[in-house]
Amino acid sequence: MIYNAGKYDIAIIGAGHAGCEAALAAARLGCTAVIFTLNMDSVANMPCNPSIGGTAKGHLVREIDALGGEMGKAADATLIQSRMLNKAKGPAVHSLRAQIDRRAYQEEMKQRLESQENLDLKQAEVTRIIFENGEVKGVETHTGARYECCCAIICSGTYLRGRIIIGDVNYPGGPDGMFPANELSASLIKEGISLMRFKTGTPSRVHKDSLDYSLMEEQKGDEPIVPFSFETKGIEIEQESCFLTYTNEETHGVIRENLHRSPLFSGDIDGVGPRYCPSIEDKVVRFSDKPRHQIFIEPMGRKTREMYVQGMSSSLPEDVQEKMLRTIKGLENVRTMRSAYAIEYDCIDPLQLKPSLEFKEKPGLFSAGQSNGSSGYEEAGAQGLIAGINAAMKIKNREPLVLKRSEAYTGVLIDDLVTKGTNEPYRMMTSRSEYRLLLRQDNADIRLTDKGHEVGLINEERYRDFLQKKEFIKKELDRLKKKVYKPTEVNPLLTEQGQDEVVSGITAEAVLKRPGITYDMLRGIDDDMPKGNNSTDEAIEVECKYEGYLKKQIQLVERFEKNEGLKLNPDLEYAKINGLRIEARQKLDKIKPLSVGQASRISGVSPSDINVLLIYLEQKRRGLNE
Amino acid sequence: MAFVIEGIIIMREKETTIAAVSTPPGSGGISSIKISGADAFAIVSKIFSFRGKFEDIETHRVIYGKILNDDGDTIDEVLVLKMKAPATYTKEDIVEIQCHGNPVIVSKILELIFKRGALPAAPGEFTKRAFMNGRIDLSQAEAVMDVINSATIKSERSAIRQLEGRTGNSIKEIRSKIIELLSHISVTIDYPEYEDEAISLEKAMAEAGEIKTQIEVLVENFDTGKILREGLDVAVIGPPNAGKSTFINKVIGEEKAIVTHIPGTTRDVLEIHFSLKGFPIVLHDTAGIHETDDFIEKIGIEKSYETRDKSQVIVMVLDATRGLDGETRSLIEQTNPAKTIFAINKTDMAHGDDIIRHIGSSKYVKCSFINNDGTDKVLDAVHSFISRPGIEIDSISVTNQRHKMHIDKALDHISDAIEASRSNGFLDLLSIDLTHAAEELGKITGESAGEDIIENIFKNFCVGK
Repeated sequence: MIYNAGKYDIAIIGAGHAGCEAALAAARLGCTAVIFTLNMDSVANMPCNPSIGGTAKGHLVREIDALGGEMGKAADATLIQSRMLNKAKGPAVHSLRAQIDRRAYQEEMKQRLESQENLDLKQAEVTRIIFENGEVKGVETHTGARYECCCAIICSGTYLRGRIIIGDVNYPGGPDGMFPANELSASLIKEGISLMRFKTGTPSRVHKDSLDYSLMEEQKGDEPIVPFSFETKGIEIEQESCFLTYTNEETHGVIRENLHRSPLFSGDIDGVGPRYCPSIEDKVVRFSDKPRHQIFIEPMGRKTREMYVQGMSSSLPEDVQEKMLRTIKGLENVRTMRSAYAIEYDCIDPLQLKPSLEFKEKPGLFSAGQSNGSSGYEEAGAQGLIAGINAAMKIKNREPLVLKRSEAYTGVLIDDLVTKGTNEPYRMMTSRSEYRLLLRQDNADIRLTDKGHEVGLINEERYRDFLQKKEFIKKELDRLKKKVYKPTEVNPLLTEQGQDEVVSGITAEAVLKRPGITYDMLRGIDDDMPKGNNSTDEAIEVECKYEGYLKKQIQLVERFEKNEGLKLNPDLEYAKINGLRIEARQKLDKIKPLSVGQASRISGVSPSDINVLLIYLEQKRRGLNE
Repeated sequence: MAFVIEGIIIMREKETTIAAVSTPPGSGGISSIKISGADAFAIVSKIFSFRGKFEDIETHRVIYGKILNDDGDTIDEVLVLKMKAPATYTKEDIVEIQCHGNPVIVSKILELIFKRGALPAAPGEFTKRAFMNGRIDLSQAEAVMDVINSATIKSERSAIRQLEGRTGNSIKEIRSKIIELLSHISVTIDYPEYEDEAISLEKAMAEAGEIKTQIEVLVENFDTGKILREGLDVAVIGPPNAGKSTFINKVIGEEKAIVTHIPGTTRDVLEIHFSLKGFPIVLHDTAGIHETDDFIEKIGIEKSYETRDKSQVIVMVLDATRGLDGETRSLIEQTNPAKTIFAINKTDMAHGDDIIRHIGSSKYVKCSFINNDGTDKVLDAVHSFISRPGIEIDSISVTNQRHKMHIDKALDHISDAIEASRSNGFLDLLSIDLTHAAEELGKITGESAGEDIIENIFKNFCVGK
């Protein structure tokens, strides 16, 4: 029996990291929203590693925060260890990574959903999306409830027709022992949406007390802790440690002997797995000359004895898993609590989406996160936020928020997905960005707070603080250009840092540009220096020291934006443009890019096709004028 | 200025200045270089010397003078035609330089122009600009699009041919070394916890230094003109003992050729590089073609066919004293007569009429190489091919110069990379300039860096949960 269960502006299908951001954004922007989860106890779950951030991913969390999203704040509230990675490798790649108390994070996020005005959180499996004349009209659950809505956002993670594989055992299932969502796929296929089948995996969880830590290397957190959120003032907690150990020849021997029992090698898994997330058996086979592989033991939380074994993702049978774990130093007496498994799931082909994350052919339907073929909590969160914002923008008849590649990793992520597509779960990496000196984690707020404010997710108080910070940095950079130190003032510092002394006055800027000199060091010799904080210090130092590089990248951006500014009508009939090569015509017709810039990034569209396109546009323009 | 039509916005802005050889292929003694764009006058005024000031030249006037290189040496005496916008083909400022039709000279002049800031014109770009600026009317839009695509196909073909040569190979090799280094740096940055896979700054800088040296060698080869080796490919084929070697030895003796031995499975293959009236030629020596059961010989003969098919011109040396036997007959029949010069050798001992009859209307030369008779005539015939339609002399020198420009830029980037990481000590800054260097070389080989780096990371490094 179908019954009418209510009416919302926006329905969000799935309450993982994408869904939570989408729901909070939509509700905060004044839309009525409902978010569905298969299980109330799995909201914002981290079924894989108990950590948030890392290279490029930490950048995404900062971006989410600058736009008014939740992930950074929830992580700050529940982290149990924090480190700033890559400190010695350059300012653009400093990356924040935190171990998270997984259960605490879930509770934190669930509470935020529950207490959000305009938002209802419901436990139900959405089995069907209802369309009328191609537009979203509502969703239906397995219990027969029908909800009316104008927009729906698919955030189904790895749940769609999920299948768990452990060695020769496999069964329908979602992550972490949850049920899969078996029906929605069929409803999407019926609507002409094309799906892909991807695969991912996770390692075992083992009992904390069964490990011998004296045989491993301890990895402590950094002090003081740098928060993710620009709003978090400071975090003072007792930090937990992670531990490093290694596989060895014995481990590899066990794996090799049992390879025939791995479904990855026997062909029982057809989903496409990510290259960056190889199982241990994959590593041993492909890198057979490596005598050892690194294994990290990470805590799952403060109130659990479960430990995550990073580096041992596997789909070998349980008995083999146990045997190989026991060969590892410190794990000789290991007691496994959850076995490693691989999971196969349906996701949509993201080429069907606009850069706003709305389906080109299905007005009102959006998709975000792993259901778009991405991987990772942070990638999901960033997309969820953008999808939530854009569903709200649609309800309010406002322009969608589309971030450029030159503005944010989030922009790179979405542009890559909707323009190039992906044939494996897509992970964010710094090398995917052309302008990573500009897209730093320290300046995420400078880059994006204005946008967050314009959209309506950044409140006035925070915005005022932000404007003050921006002004402070600008003023200080100007001051550094003008401030001159006498040789007697600055020479001791220069000598101490192994730099040549000066014989006449030198500007503060010139001193700071010297290798090895930090902004903080100037404090001792500069009485006029204003009192900032860690975050302004970092921004000032980077902007000053790397001015030349930043300028170079800005020039690149300007060249790039030229073609981004040339808008294309999504209804353009490429089939009718004869000058285009056939491959280009087909690709353009499929992807329907919104700018010449986007068109130029489609594989199979050559520079000469772009020239032809420009001529065609000019022809159109003149045809209308004449 | 922006127009909005049907959701299409077209922005007008200052275009770059472009240059290319504009003489149609095969036009003989004179080549013409066209430069179009806002900086055209400024660029030419820096390399053109005559009695007077460039800015004082009236529009649409032809002036005689010299093109000088950086050291003030004369490269060529030229005629320069200055044309002020908008009364020009592209409606931009245009300068046309008419110089001697020697590819070496054309290359040198183009190189100077690119050094002064012009960019190589993309295929069909003058026409595209003419259209975009309203010089060509709307009804011809379709034709303009066709021009762009057919010009692109031609130039791609020429570029591909060039990349098959040794320079192409070393460009590819250097590029893939940069990509490997970049992916190693990326792994170090993106997977900082996997210390086993990390590269140190010192090691990365040392590798960058090695790459820099290799690019320098490449640049030097360009500057000494060795790069022009990749000119017109001419295959010398024929049955054994027909006189191929004699012909080749005569050419080597008379034309100051550079001989390169390329080790092969059956025997060393010779490549003979020389300049034929200013145009670079590569003669390819091949194994004699005949029926055989010998496995090793068969491989050599396969290679001969391959060389024949890849070359733009074929010199087929036939033995008049053998007459039109089965092998000779089938050789003639299997070869594309449109690109073949038949050299009937040993005509001092036999007339070879039956062979000549079988060749029909195709080009043939009667020779006796051993008696110093015929080498010149064969070379003249090769030269006549150069001026035939279908063989793009100019596009070769343009491609050369375009490649040179990208290689120069790659060298600049890699020097910047090393310099910056030396002063800052950051792996990340090293990788940013390295990426630019890889992109410049990628513009020659037609590959883009991004996905290649990621591909390489997962192929060569063992990271991830």
